[in-house]
Amino acid sequence: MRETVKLGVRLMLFALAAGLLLAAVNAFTAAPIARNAQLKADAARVAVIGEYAFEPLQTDTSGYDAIVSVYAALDEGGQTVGYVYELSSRGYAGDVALSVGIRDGAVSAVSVSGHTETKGLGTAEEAPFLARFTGIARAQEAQDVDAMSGATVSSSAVKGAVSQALAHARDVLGVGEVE
Amino acid sequence: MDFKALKKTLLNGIFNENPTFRLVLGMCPTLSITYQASNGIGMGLATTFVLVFSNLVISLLRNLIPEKIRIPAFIVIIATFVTVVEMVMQAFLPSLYDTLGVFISLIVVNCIIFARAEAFAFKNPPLLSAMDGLGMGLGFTLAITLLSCIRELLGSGTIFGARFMPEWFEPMAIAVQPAGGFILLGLTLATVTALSARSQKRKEAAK
Amino acid sequence: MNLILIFVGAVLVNNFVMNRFMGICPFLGVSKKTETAFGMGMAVTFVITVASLVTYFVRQLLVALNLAYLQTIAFILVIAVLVQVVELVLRKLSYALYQALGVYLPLITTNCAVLGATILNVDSGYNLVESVVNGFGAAIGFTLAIVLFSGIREKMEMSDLPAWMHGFPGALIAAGLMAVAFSGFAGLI
Repeated sequence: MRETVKLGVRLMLFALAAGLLLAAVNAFTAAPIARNAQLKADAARVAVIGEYAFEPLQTDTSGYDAIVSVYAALDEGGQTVGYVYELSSRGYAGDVALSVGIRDGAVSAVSVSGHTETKGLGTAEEAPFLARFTGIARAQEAQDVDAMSGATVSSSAVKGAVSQALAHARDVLGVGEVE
Repeated sequence: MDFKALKKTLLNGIFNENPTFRLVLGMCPTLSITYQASNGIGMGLATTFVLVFSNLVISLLRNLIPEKIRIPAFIVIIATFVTVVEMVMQAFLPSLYDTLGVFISLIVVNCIIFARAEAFAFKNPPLLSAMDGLGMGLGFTLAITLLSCIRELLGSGTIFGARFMPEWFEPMAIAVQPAGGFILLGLTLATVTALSARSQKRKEAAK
Repeated sequence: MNLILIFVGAVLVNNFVMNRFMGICPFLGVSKKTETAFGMGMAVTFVITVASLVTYFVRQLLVALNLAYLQTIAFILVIAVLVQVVELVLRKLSYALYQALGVYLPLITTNCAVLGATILNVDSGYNLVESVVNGFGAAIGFTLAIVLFSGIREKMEMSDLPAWMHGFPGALIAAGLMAVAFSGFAGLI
């Protein structure tokens, strides 16, 4: 019996030392790990507007069926520098999920985060097509962007979503158009 | 400390008793994450770190650990170093951590580490044990990197993401799927066994 | 319905051995005879199912204490203790089975299917019932794979294989062909 207790105590001591070592490492790595988790969540938003803090925006999106959520991009001083729209639009073979960044009233970038399309999106044509939206400030102009060849439906899905984001930013959030 | 003995222990792990090709231990990570070359190196080095430190600490404590509770004591020591790797990788190499996923935690149950603790570190002095861990770890790293290069080359036509195959090469998707993992490991193992048997024969003939 | 999906997923679609590569060591080591393979499968089933249950509460406790980083250590210790308990109970209740499994029992601790299942439960955010169902399904999947494989290996013993296929290479290639068959379940859910 006494031997069992002795062995138990010794094992407890090992476990205690291990726990202390891990607590020390944890103190050292906890902050970077938390930052990585935040970065991962923000990755799609950072890709379209840059490295800012993001805050979900409560706003009326009725009438804009493609808009899933809207985030305000805040700089270090807490000032709103732009908005990120997360949208989902019906495409050729399924829904296209995309993020649109809007800054100073114009599109800063568009990125497609998920799709089940077979044509156009996900190919070499995707990047130049999405780049054509950069700088556009009017909903109508977004509709006039040249489509990817042979992928009209997928292209229209993206164009419709971007123009909804622009229209919502102007009409609901009151972001001014750059004339 | 005898320098020659250290060198011999190191090389023993890499060649004579290569944990993957000779002892056939640690098969789970060898099969699961070897679909791209960068995974092989990452997993190999993480395991090497754990092997070196667990061997070192177990050897240092070998007179303090009673025979009867050595298994739980090994478990605590090994799991501690695995958790250290886990936290450090999550903090500073997040993308590698995401691809290796649950298999980082599963280094705890890699039979290589247990086998070396029991068979070597518990009976040998610290420096020699650390060297054994390094040799075994590098042997493991070498083996799984080799396998993952083969799988990535056949399955995606690339090695470390750089294209190596000519244009006309049609990637064989099966090589990066589970089934391909089993089959290619089998073929690699057979090749290594055949090659070493041949060199063994030559050595004997030379004598 | 959700529980059925989790179960079928763990047994067939994401079979622990054939698809996730967990528990390969016993899969290759204890699969020469169908009987021992089945015994191993049963012992593993018990340990995984109970471990899924216990680690769920351990996880809750660790999170409450803000010690989530001790998860790996805590889980593996729980599993080691469980294996010890199984060993003691089996020795008292059924000495015959205890002897048949003998050396393989302590090896369950280092079977990565056990620790893997408990960690996947956490990563997938399963609740208590889902965790137990997933663990049980994983174990049944393991048993299925190892028993089927031992049948193949018994047949292989008698066949005339080229010298380089003897032992592990042949076994691995046979396992690969079996994995091809299991990949056919991919579209099931």
